[in-house]
Amino acid sequence: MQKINKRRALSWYETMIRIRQFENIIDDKNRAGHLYGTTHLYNGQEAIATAICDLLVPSDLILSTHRNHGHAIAKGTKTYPMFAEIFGKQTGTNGGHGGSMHISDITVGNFGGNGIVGGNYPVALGLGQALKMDHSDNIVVCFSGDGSTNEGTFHESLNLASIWGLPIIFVVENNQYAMSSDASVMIAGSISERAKNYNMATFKVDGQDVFAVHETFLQAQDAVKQGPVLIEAVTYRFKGHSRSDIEQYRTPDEFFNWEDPIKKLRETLIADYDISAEEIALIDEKTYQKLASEADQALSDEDTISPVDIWKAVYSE
Amino acid sequence: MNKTYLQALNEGLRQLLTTMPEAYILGEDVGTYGGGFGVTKGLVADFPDRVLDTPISEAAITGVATGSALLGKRPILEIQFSDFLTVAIDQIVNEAAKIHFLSNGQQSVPMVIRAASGSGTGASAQHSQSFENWFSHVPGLIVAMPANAYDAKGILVSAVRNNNPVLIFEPKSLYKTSAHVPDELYEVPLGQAKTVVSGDDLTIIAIGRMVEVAKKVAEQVSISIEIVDPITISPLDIGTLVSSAKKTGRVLILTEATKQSGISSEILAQLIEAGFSGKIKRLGGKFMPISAAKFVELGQVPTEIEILETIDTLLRDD
Ligand SMILES: Cc1ncc(C[n+]2csc(CCOP(=O)(O)OP(=O)(O)O)c2C)c(N)n1
Repeated sequence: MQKINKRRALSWYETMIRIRQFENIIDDKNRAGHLYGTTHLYNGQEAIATAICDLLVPSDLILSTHRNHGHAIAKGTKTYPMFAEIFGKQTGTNGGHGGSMHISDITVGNFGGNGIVGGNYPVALGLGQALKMDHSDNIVVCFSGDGSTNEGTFHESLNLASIWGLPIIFVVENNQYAMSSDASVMIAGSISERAKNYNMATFKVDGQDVFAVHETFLQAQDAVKQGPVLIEAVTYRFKGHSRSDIEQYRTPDEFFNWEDPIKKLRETLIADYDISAEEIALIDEKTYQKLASEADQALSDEDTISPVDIWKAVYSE
Repeated sequence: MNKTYLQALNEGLRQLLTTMPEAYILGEDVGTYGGGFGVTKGLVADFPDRVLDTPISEAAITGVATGSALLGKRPILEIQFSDFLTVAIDQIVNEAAKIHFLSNGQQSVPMVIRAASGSGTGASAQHSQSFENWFSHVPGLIVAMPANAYDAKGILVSAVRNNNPVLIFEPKSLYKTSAHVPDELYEVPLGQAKTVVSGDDLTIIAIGRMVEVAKKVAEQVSISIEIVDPITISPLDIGTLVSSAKKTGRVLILTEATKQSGISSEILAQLIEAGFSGKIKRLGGKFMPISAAKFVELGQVPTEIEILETIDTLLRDD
């Protein structure tokens, strides 16, 4: 029995593999010395952004974190200017000034990444408040990580969102670690239980299962009509925290305990959707070719240089 | 022996933990990970109860440092990037800095906050700022910015032994630079400027990573440049700066932080108030957030070319 039609399931696969390969290319370019700044990879968490953003319309808004490539791609930000942004090029989504952590694109409702852990929660409140004042049906999705739930802003924001009934779905991606700190050691109680105490509808979902995330988010979209919602998506970050992480805080075999969301979907597509391994290999190959050529093109673009009019770059007219 | 800025701090921390039972380290990822940049690497293995990994809760952990300092502990708190001091600023400014005064001297807060500061890594606007100016505006805080490995260790030791809240800004672009660093514990005094290079024709007052830049520039010119590093920017050792300024008659003040409302304005004002009547110029970071793009970022702090040009204008028409 298929609750999800084939086309939708395939589109999820395409988005997830696009995110994975986009970041693999970033990783390669980093190793080849083409990256100036840092970068945080979403490898292992792709099902979450994919299933959620698939259920949003462009006028629904998202906010992200330092680990924002996956959210941006899933929300519809084009990969070519994302490469350019990360390479510090004028053609980047943010003119090269933001870099890997600050990709934003308001044309698709992507209000961007954030370098301050917990910095996006209060901004989400404001987006939600404005939507409410406009009697909009749109919602805000605020993506964050487990570690950020220990910042004061998390607690202040959940409380305020709840008492004011703001249209926000907080999606906490519990990838088990905040840099080196183990969520099970650092977080008293559980993330989803915390939200319950703020009187919010809460969900906990297997973030490696794109179908489960889809199903949960549908329920969350229903619940958010009554007020803010929190989803804890349980997941795993397969790569290091950032490009400088040597990962001494976890054992190399630990990741065998976790399913790769892409592999899992691939197996489901083959078993339940009558899609051949060859068809999938073709998607992988085509996606890679397109991304690789975008990356190379972006690398040859003009470097971002200092704005001629600094005042205009820093202040709005 | 030559050691890097990182090694000097690491060694200093280890020796402080060894010799001062009341000293302890706390902060995000200071344990196994070794802190944001590796300064605390290896310490948790030897001091498991005194190197504490904390949750990402800058306000709370600054409060932990403050409260435990009130009971005689010597907390050394790492805030990974100085940019995140803003999350802790209420605890620093309204609590830690005020307690001694408000208690009429009954209480004191001997805590140290170390924070990696400044640009040069492509980490963009929220991971590259120079906030030392902000805190030098607050009575009750001591603010230092060591510019080399030797001073880094010595200032750390003085800061931990000091009975006030001390903020140490560590220019992250200097972490891998080396200098001669004695193996034993030693102090570099807080509140005391240092003449790094002696000269007669022009004084460069440089702070943090600008000290190294000033040294490079001094080697390229035919005049005799004196370089003075305040090291501590609050309280400022204005006496040393004034005597150098009066000796050479020309002053250039160099900071990585934007010059608007900054320590360079303060130094300029105090020099004039002290009767200096020579020429003064300032160079600081451009008044804009730090860009992730390499070629923008490199030009946002004073460059050697800009410094040479400014020296030229200081020398012209006298
Ligand atoms: C206020 C603040 N404190 C600390 C940091 C340094 N830092 C960046 S990411 C990170 C870990 C975040 O963990 P989590 O919220 O779980 O997100 P994840 O990295 O796992 O996606 C830390 C400590 C920061 N960027 N901002």
